[in-house]
Amino acid sequence: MAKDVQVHKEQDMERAQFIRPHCFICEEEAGVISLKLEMPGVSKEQLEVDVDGNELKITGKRKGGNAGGSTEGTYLLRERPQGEYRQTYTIDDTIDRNTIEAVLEGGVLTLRLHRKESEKPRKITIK
Amino acid sequence: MALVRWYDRDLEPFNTFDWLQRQINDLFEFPRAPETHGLFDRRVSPAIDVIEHPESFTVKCDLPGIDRKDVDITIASGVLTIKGEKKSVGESAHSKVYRKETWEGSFQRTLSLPSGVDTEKVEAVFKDGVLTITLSKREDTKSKRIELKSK
Repeated sequence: MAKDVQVHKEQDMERAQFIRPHCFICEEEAGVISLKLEMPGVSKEQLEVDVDGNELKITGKRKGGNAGGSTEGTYLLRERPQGEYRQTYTIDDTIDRNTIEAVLEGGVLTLRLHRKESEKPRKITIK
Repeated sequence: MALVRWYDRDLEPFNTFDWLQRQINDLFEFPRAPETHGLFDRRVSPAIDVIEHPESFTVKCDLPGIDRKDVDITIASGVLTIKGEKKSVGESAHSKVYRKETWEGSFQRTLSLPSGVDTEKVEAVFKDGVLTITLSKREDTKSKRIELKSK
């Protein structure tokens, strides 16, 4: 029983530590899926985007502890979410793993996922 | 294409129930959606942090995806106002939207400043989508250390 309680606590802690960034997923142009993630406070150096098989893993740390910047001082108001950004997506076989482009600008990470050429819709000419 | 949220579910049987319970609880909780104000003129209030330092106050505001030119910061009679507009990006009539959690439109946040803020000495930095405003305290309100003299 004591072990169970331990597990619950750890889960709660883990849940509190990571922020799931707000996303916007759309297909702007045919064959390119654009995935935008809002991660304010994350700079290029602290961001990691990994593709591992079918998993697209995004991790963003904020500098200087939890809130970003110096943490000394007294908080009079604390509304911003604390912790590090973490999100994992499952991508299927139609996405070309080699042509994923990532741009971080103004706290927004934009990933461009290209569909494989063989998966794109094509017209069949009638002879 | 399936872009589905990935969950780290261990093989423990009760974890699934925990997960289900969290999902149900989360249905009624939107802690990360920004608050909106105004009846006719709806505005988003972005989340802010106010931190007091011995010499200054720091106000931090998360404004991702917003251009520096679209943010307007004013101080009038002890009230700090951060306002502006977040323009929609990458959305056109032809685009196919799969999932949208972000917001756009105008936002405004007002904050009554504590007494003792020197409104002349205000610095604002906008970096990586975080707006940091540093407000210096007036000289006479800064905390002073009193030296103890021994006789």
